[in-house]
Amino acid sequence: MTPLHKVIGVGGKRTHLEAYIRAFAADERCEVVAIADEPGLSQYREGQNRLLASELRVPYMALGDALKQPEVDIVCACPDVERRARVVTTCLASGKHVYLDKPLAGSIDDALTIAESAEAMGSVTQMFTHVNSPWAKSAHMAVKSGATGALNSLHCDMLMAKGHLADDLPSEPRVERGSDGSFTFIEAKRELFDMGVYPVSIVTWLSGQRVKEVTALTGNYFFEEHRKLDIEDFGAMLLTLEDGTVATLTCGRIGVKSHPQGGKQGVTVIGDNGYFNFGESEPRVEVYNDGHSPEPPRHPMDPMMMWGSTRQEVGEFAKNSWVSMHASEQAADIRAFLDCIDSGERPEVTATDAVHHIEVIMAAYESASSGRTVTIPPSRL
Amino acid sequence: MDWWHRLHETISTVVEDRRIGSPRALRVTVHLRGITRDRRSLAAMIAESADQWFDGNGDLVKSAESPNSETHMVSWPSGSSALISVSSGENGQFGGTVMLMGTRGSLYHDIDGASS
Repeated sequence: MTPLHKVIGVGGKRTHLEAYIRAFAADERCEVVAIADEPGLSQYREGQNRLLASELRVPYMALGDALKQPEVDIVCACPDVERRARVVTTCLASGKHVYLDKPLAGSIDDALTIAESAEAMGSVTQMFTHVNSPWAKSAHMAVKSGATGALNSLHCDMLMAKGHLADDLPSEPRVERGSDGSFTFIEAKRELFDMGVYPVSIVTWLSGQRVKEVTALTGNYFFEEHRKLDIEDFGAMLLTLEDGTVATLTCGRIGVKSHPQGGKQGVTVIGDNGYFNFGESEPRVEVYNDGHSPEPPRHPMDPMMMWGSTRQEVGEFAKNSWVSMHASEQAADIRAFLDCIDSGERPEVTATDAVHHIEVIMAAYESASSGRTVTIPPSRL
Repeated sequence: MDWWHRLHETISTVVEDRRIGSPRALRVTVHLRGITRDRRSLAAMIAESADQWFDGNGDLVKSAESPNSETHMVSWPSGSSALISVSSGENGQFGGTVMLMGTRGSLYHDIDGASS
């Protein structure tokens, strides 16, 4: 079949683009034609971008030139979060549909800029979340069909079993000072921001409501890398939704050997009809055998095991006792995005939806640093 | 609530044997079929267990209560934290999850009919 869509990727290796762009390439409706980015990047970032282009056997281009190609209709945008608003609005201004890395932006103002640009251009946008995963869809169906009964509370966890636990962290607890606009570092990320967006998006999507109040705390419980950067590796939130429904969430990294598979990822719905649990690992096949269980290797530039490419460089550490019965969540999400472009339907999580995720996360940082509950003002959109 | 006592004892053994290192974060979500008194009693027992596992008295950060549920966010001077949510209702199945994350690993328990 002749591909319907020509796609350019913004970003490179050691960004989420390395996985997303391969999911686009694997879809028969798409042809990936270039990797592109802004000029003037750090040598490290441009080098990683060029490496990905080389692996995909596509040219590496200046973003402005790549966007001038009229046949290109989709951009998969994974620039550093700190420059995401500038890059994404440039892509939207050229009339392209944009698949967005998560979280949407590093500030509420940047998120609003992206959403307003997307609305003005009429472009289709979708940010990567887990809402198109089988477990989330099952939860959604249970809520919307009435199987759960009226919603009483939601409890969502997104805890990745990645990273090497510290031998001995200081017992003095970390003091949260809030967001200073920096979230991504080579060796680690701020986990309330980076992982928190997943459960926040699940809660707002499942409930169909905005969050009214946020109480949060953060910790540096597990990793030396986070301690050295003075950033959190764990976060928890207690949320009150617009109608008074309570939601809780946890997010972060807990160590590669702290879970038999990828981590604790799922949602519990408490409704008038009782308790309903939906998890990433359900359903599964469990396999126990006399195979070798190697120590997970450590990549010096990626000790938190954030990227597939670095895991390949040190030798993939496969936890294979739990065998999922589902396909890749990234592939499912990108397939859903393409379906929306082709059908004209609205994606489940657009740039406009994702602004609220940033509002919640920023309120969570404010709460964790002040020790107070933070009220989120009405939408500015 | 014998099932919670048994679960408490089992988890305490894991904690005392340092199999997950120092406990840092507790997450308990339980739904009971029953009356409000049982729910309140269970929430109090879970809080007592958490104090023991985190080796101190926790400070309540925030509570959210409704006629059929209560949720508590608690922190300890060590920086450890817990989210405890207990609900009850006339319908549906009894169930829940317990997750205790520590500096050397994590433990998980699915609460279901077998627990009771």
